[in-house]
Amino acid sequence: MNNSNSSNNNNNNKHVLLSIVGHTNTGKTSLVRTLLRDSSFGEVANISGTTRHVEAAKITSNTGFCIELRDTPGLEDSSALYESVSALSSGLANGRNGLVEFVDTPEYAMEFEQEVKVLRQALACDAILYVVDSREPVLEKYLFELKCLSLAARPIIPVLNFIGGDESQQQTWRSTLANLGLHALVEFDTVAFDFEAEKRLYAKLQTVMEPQHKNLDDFIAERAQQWQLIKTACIDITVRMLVQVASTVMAVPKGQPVEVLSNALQENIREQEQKCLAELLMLLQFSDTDAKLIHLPVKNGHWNADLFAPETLKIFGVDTASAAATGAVVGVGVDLVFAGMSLGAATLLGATVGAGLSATKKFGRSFLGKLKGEQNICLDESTLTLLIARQVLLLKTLFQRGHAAQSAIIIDLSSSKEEKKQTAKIAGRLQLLQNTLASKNKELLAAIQREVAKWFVDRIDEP
Amino acid sequence: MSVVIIIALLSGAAATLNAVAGSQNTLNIFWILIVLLGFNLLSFLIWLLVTLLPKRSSRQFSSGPLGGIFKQLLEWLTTYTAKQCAVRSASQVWLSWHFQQKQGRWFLGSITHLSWLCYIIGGGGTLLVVLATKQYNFIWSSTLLSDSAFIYLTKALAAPMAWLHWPVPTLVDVSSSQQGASAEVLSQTRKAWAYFLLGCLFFYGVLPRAISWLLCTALRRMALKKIDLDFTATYYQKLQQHWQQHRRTSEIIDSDSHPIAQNRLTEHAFTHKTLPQNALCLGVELSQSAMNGLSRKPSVNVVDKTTQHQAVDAIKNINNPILFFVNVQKAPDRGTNRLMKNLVSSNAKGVYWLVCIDQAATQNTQPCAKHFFPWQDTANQLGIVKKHCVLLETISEQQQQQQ
Repeated sequence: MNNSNSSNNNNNNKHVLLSIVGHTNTGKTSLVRTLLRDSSFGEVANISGTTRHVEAAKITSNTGFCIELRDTPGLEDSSALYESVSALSSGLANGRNGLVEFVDTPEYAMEFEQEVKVLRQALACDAILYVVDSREPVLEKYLFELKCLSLAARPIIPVLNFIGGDESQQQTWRSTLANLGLHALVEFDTVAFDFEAEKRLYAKLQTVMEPQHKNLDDFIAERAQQWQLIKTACIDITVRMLVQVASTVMAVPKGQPVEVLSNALQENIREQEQKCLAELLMLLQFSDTDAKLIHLPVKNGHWNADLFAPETLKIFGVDTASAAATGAVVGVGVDLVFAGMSLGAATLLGATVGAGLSATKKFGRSFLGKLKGEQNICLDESTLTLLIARQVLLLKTLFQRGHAAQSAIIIDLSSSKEEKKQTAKIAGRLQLLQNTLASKNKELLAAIQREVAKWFVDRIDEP
Repeated sequence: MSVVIIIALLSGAAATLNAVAGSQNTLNIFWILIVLLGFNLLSFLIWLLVTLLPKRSSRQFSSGPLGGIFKQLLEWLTTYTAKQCAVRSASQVWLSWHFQQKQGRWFLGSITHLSWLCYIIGGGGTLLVVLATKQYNFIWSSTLLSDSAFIYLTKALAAPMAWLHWPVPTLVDVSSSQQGASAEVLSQTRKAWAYFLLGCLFFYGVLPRAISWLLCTALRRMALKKIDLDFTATYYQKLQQHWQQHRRTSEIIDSDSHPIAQNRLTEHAFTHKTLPQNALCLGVELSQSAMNGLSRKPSVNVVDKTTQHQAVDAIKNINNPILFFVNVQKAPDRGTNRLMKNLVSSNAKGVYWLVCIDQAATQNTQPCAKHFFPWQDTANQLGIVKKHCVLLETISEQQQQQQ
């Protein structure tokens, strides 16, 4: 590879070239995957030498600013590499020129094929991201790697990967790197994603690349806005699905077994949940295999089309004020028609039936179904509560999942009583939509959607 | 759009041929005008009415009732036919772009006007061909209207043609056509009626539709310039992510010129053999927590040049078995293999064991074959016999504390 890339890049002030280097199996490809939000980039495996080539990918902002990431093979034979570089007459003393001479020597290019690829990229880039598996002890060979890389005379930012493990080991790494003068390190777990960590990584780049400060500032702001919009869109998709599921009501024709339709209802709800999941995965750029939902134990709740439930009457009050005034006149006749129905607040018979008449225009089918002896089924509260809790957990997990994570997400529920209570409360709000009248009321629908979305935001943002 | 144009042109032509087919040598001018302009006029009036109706001033879709139906239909079609999420999102962006705010009204208007324009052009063109290739007499008469009113109507309709000095029907032409054209008519009279018919199609069909179409197109373009798409909408985010996914490409810029064969062993033995007593235990690049988990502490943990020399010194001249403790979770690399080769070569007669310690195995996880295979490869390269390559489960510090 030619070493003139760097000078070309420096001329182009909207382009930053980063080489991702490190010892083998430390998560270099994983870092690129997570930064790109692309789980299909490269190959990731817990085996040394998985990446044996240099692969480049770009992150471009709307302003045209571009960060090019170059994923390199892992450094493996670091001690021997350092000895060979030192053995060169111009080796360590000549710094960058010595390293150029080393990579251009055919003998070394043969023996250290992978390492030479890495060093070429170190020479060509604007900055080096040195990925460290922070669970590993600080070995001499890693220090040799850093010494070789420092010859490239490019800023090095150590990236401590897998930070969920041993804290004392991380502390050793921090102090060792500080001894080498590498203070601008960043903690970035490629498996447990945290957007704040990504922001810190770019902010660290700012500190070592002053001319790109403004571009990187804009870049960080754009990435943050995009991330926020994606999160909002994910919540929106989930809430819409929940609204759809909550308002799904099926009529069981008289004489038919409820089980047949309840199976159809269950299937319908599962399909909607899977569709929602597919959309979430697409939005967050995960593959279909990233998440696997356990079968939702859907129960069907029997629902009586009581259009006179207190919540419904509130809407009636708005919609049918005039109808209520004339209701007293036709009250008795209509009452006979609806004999046997659960009229709920039927104490004010005339007004209620007047309102009922108005509603019949809109919801004649429900009334007709009731008269025919149809039974309606929909999702019961406990299942809806479960579904909501599951969606919260799914979103939380997806938002914290790096694109390098290789294990599938298995959603399981274990929540505290208080959490269950909160979830049941919001399920209760959604259950209002099981009433046909309420589900057709656009204002009420929008209000419930907003309320549920806000609840989701609060739940996901809480630690 | 081109399909709509073709259908409209063909419909116009078919309608004209149908209207002409019934008559042998006589054309009823009223009938042809009704076929080509009657429904057109009706639809034009409806459009005019809908356009002039007061509009809701909102960001909502405001393409009028027809636009609403059209949009609903498109939404329904895209929701139920588009399998891919991105296609559905793209449809929603398209619908927003074309139907949100005023542009929807003008967009639908331009489609309607263009369709009718093509219909009339198709019909007019066919009529022109028919009149050019066959001689027809014309009937232009009325039962209800008085003669004077009928003549006034004819004059009024022919007024635009008269301004352009086209031949228009005279009183003689009107009276001859009222008599059913049974008598011999002059060829000039036939020509006058033919021009009248074509003129009517042009002035009362083509011209208003063409002007309206141009007007709607211009207004739509103006509205599109002011359009304000909601880039924060969910469907837009979906589409953007889809684009990014497809736009993103990676490129191999320094390929692997000597790909190595992945010669992994395919069988493994998670044997937990009893380790030989009186053996020399050496750690290879072990972490402190891994060391702490071992019941037999390695005398040296090789982590640098100094410890490497110490290990070599310990191995030299020893007759007891030599146990290399390695972390199975950390795959061996070329550097580790080189290091172990150096150690093994310092005592060629030694009996070596490779003990892969697995802390993760005790943390409720199954020992993973893919972690063990690379170490079996290493053992193979070092000449360590298969039965001496073993897996040893250890307890982590955390677990020790818990116990």
